[in-house]
Parts: sequence; C-alpha cells; structure tokens
Amino acid sequence: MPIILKYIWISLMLCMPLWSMGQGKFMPKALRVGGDLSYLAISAYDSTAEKYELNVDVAVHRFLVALDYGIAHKNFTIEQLSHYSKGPYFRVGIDYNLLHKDPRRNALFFGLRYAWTNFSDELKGVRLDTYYGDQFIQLNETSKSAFWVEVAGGLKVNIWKGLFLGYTMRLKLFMQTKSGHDLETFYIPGYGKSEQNTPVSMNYYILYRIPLFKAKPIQPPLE
Amino acid sequence: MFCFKNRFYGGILLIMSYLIVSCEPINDCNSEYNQFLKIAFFNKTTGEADSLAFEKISALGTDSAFHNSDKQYAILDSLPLNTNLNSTTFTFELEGFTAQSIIINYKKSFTIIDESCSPVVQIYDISVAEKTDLFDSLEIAHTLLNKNNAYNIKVYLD
Repeated sequence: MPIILKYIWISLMLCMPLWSMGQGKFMPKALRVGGDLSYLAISAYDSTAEKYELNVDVAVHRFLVALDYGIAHKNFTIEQLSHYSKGPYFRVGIDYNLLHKDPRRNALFFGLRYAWTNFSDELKGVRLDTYYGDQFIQLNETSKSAFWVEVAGGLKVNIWKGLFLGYTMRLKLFMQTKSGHDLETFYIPGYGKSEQNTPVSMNYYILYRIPLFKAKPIQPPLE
Repeated sequence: MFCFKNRFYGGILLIMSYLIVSCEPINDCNSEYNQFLKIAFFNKTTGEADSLAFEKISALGTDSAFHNSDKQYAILDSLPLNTNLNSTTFTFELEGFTAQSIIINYKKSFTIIDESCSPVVQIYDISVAEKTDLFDSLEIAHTLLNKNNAYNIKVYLD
C-alpha cells in the first residue's frame, strides 16, 4: 500500500508539469528558497523540541513544485526516564497557484504533499515498579519510519525585491508508521504526536526568489 | 524600502501570523493498560462461576502478597506480571493441596501517553508456559492485559 501511494504520487507530480509542457508552457520560471521562522522560535523557547526546515518551490506554469526538508528532535524526561526521538523528514508535492499571473509573484495556493520520515526512538532510565523493584530500561529503536499525505494551502507575499513571507496550513492525513516491538511511537518528526489522526499544523517562512528563466511578458489579448 | 503594496494579501498574512495552532488534545495519564493478570474460576460441570480460598499467593521476584486469606476468590484480579521479564511464575497455596504453580509468558511494549505521564507498559500475547493440576483445565480469554477485561484466564475447577 505505501509503495502504491508513492507511485501514484510520483506519477501525479510528473504529469502535472507535463500537461503544461504539452501546451508549450513548461519552463521553470523561478526558484524560491527559504526556511521556517516559527520553528526557529519554537526551538528557542521550547527546551524539549528542536526543529529546522528548509523550503523550496519551483514555479512551473501555474503550478508550484514544493520540496521541504526538515529535522526534528523531541527530548523530554519523565520522572527518571528520558525519551528522545529524532530524524529528518521530507515533503514533495504540487500546488496550484491561483495568482500565477500576478506581476509581484505573490502566490495563493493549494495542493497536496507526500511526506515521509525515517527516525529513531529512545527510552532509557529507571522505571519504578511497586512489586518487582526498579526496572532499568534501555530501548533504542533506530529504524522507524512513517509516511502521510498532506492537504496544504497558503500564501506567499512579496515584501521587498525578491523577499517573500508566507505561511502554509497543512492537514495531515493517512499516516502509517512502521513501529518497533518494544517502544510504541509517541512522536513522529514532521508529523507530531502519533496518536493524532488528522493534525493541523502551520509553517511560517521567509523565502528568497531566484529567477531561473525570464518569463515572457503577458500580452494583452488582440482586439 | 519595506512596504506591502498588495494590502489585501499582506493583511491576510498578518492575520494568519497571529493564528496559533493549538489543537492538540489534553491528555490525562490514565491508561487502559496495566500489569495485572486476572484469573477467574468456573465450575467445570456447570460452567458457572466458582470460588477458592488461598492460604498464600506469591510470585517469583517479589515478597508482595496478592491475596486475603479470609476471602473466597471467584476472580483474582491483581496478579502483577513482572515487567522486567517476559515471564512470571505464580505459586498458589491452598488447604489440602500441594502448592500449585503457573508460568505465564508474554510480550511487552512501552507506551508514552503524554510528556507529563510515566510510560505505560502494555502486556500482550499472554500464554501459559507451564501449569500444575489446579490449572489443568483452562482457557485464555484475553491475551492483552486491559483494565476493561473482566479476566484473562478462565480456570475450570472439578
């Protein structure tokens, strides 16, 4: 099932620009590169979480091909036990830009993402057992993975020259995880708490637009 | 120069920047899982609930007592399994019988409910590895230890 979903996704990603190419419109116009600002703030004030995320989008006709790479750590201690989850995560997807003709290159978009992560989970310390005494725990599961689909929508606004501020709201769906035997997954990098079925999250980011090919000026229709 | 020419989209961006996504459910630390095995006694002939009085119930690895000698038990509902191991041996002493024992095998996994709660041990796939006469006729009713289950093992008494 995960493999089928992956192939459907890749096929969709390839098809959408190709449809545009068929009409002679396929030409990557620009690349926007940036990072998530809110995650930097979270990392600064929340001692249990650390997140960093890079965001890239490529404008192709009226679509934006979105690529995200992030790293998330979650570390907390309960009584005498410490739990640590960490791993990179990736998102690949396509957005439809409702403002693709906007001269200021703003984007109001909605689209889909396929996201996945490979992460490790650790629980170690001493657990108090009333009957059998202290239990020394050392669990380290290094090959966990998860994937999910996101419905995304948001805005990217040009604030100065090539600089953009933006946000993306994400509804995460159909999460599947490959868990270990001894430690149930609590936190999934890029997704959040595993018990949540359809979590909603936000990204606030700053991006810089790098033009790749000069787009033809939009011609007024002939009378 | 730092300015928004497109005020509409800039306005939306500002409003959204104040949006705080805090939809995470608040968890309490109660879990449906625990480490207590429940054994229920039934009459082999009638199939109805039966009861036994125990002189002593003990488990390998602990000095704790799990019974009250003045009481007849139809269900023993607080036999703790050892979460350090994947097996626990219980010994039951009854008047007029030799000591009876049962060895329970199981798997376990740790579950974190919330960042503020102690990890919970989930015990599953319980099976009986060894048993003596008293437990000769038994049936596993639920292989997962769960507070909501009335019992995990049914023991039929002659």
